[in-house]
Amino acid sequence: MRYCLLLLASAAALMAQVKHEDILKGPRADWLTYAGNYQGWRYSPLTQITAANARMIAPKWVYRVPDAKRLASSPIVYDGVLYITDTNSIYAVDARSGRQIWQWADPRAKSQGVNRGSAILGNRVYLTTADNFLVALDRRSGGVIFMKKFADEKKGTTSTSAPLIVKDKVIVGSAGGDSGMRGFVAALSADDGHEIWRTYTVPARGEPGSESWGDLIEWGGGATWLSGTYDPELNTLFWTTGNPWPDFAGATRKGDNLYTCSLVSLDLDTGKMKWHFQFTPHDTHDWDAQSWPILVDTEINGKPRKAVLHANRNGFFYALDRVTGEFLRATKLIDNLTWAKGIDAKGRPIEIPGQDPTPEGNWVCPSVKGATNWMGQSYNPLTGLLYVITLEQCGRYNMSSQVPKPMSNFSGGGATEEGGQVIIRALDPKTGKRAWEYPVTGAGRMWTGTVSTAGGVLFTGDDDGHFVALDAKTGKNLWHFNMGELSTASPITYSVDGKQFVAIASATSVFSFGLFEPADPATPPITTVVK
Amino acid sequence: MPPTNLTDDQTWNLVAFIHALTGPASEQTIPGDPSAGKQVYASSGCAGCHAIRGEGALLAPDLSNIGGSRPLPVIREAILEPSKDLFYLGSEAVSVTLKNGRKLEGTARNRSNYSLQLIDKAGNLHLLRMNDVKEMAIRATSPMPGDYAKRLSKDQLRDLLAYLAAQSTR
Repeated sequence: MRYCLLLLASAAALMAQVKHEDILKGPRADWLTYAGNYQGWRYSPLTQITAANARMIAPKWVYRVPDAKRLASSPIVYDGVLYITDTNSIYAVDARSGRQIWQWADPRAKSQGVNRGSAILGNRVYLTTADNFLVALDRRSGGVIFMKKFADEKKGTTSTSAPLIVKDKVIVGSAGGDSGMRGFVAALSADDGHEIWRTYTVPARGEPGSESWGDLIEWGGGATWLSGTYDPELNTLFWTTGNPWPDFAGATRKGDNLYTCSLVSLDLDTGKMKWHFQFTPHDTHDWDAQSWPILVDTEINGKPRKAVLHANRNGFFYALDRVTGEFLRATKLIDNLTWAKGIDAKGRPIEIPGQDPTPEGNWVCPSVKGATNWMGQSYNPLTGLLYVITLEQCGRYNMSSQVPKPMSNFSGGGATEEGGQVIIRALDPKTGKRAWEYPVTGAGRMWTGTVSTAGGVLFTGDDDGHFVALDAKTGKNLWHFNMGELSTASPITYSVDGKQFVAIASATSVFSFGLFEPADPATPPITTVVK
Repeated sequence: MPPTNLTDDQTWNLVAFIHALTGPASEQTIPGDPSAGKQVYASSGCAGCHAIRGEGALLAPDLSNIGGSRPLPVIREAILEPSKDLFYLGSEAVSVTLKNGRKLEGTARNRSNYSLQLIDKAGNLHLLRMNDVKEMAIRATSPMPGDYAKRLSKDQLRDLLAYLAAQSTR
């Protein structure tokens, strides 16, 4: 201990730290937030890997995440270190070699569940545990700086999403909506984890919106299990909400069930809801709105708009004005859509009668997994296209007549997922029309997201465990690699020492790829062991 | 294992004893004064290498959850006999000279024939290709001083253990 007392304070002040402004700039060499930038684009300006040379992509390293079985985490990268999370755990890996630097795990956590990623600010990396602790660790050592509880797992709440850091706030969501809970978005202090504000996604009895509920409003759901996006100019967060509970039995919750299956716009400083838009009023098919609200300034219906784009699980692709929440347009995201004829001028679905779950089972498209889901979409400003993983799948929806009991794994029924075709679709935000599509083989089990680059490449997984590179303009396949298992996470891209990497988690491991280089034979140093 | 003739009380006492040997120290009743132990921690220079909740240095294992993750006998042994049963990975003291002449010293958080992940005394991470390293010296023993058995009185050690046992993140 005594040999290292002296040199601490002065040098520590000189070290690089992540600032809010760094995240604001969007990705460069680093990838500092779940979706790359605050707008949710999953887009990188890196250009070393291009559509012309993508056939030269080769694996650089694989990191086997200890005990991982179904990784859902999208990594972040800072200063040559990649951080990947799993249930109640996080691993710091040398982003060039794939060698582990440190790991942190909390085996005493009272809940288990997927974890979608971490966030970074200053010298701290942040994640949440499944039993709702915000954890701040020293990014260099993995040492604990604080753990702060922000929700009670005994009330049905768990935590799965990557935190979103904006300025001095860590924004966290809530999960558990399929067993009954009350969803919320909360801003916690990045300094010590104390709560700054909390906005519930289901109103309390007597509050505005509560008239859209019945007896079970206290357990109404509206979970917020995916990170949101942020508009710095409007100082506004955009967050999507999950299904009402019980998922498949709507009789006890007559009404629209605000603010479930919605997009809510929240003031960053206060959490006050500025507006909301409900995609699926009174949902009975578990069609959470958990898919990215992507912020794009573009022309829609002939007018320049500050838009928020949203491909919804219910099968429609929406464009809203993100300043006012005004509905601008909805188009069909998938072809097999049987529950609604379309969306009316106010943005409300024109429902086809008889599509609710029944005791015998009712065949409806899309399936319970939805026309898309939480897998990361990508918007590429150079092609002007939004890339969305879509699923053409139907299912049989059953309703249970059992009396709903919260926190008992009761969702009011169930649904099958039968067959299915995953199709990667490039959409034009201006029109909502498809620019190209890339169907993939598989059983409709895929949960992989996308990342696109200024090199004109779209990276994604397919439904058979391949990692693929497509031409972002045309959808033409450029390269593929068999990872040996299905991926359930979204890729990122980053650069170390001027070399571009693309990384993605498979079920158990992180793979990182780059352009092929001839081998560099190892020249070991002169090594001595000091007794 | 043969059946025992222990009474219920004796069986539970045996379970408690085994748990005390193997369970987290924070879940045990530990003799000593944690407040006095905090003073011992400070005066012994522990924070020069270790950190607790962000206070201290990054060279040696973080102690924020040491009581919540390790049994008391393990913590005691780590203080008194730090090089016994040393598990090097992640705590190996190294100094290297790079081919460009730069010298670095610290802890190897990981090391292979091909790369070295080193954290230095100031808390900087250095992610090195071994091809860039000219010379490397590895210390065969723990960088933790091995003389705490002599430097600490019995009471000081007891209090330090009480303080460390109380370090739990839950």
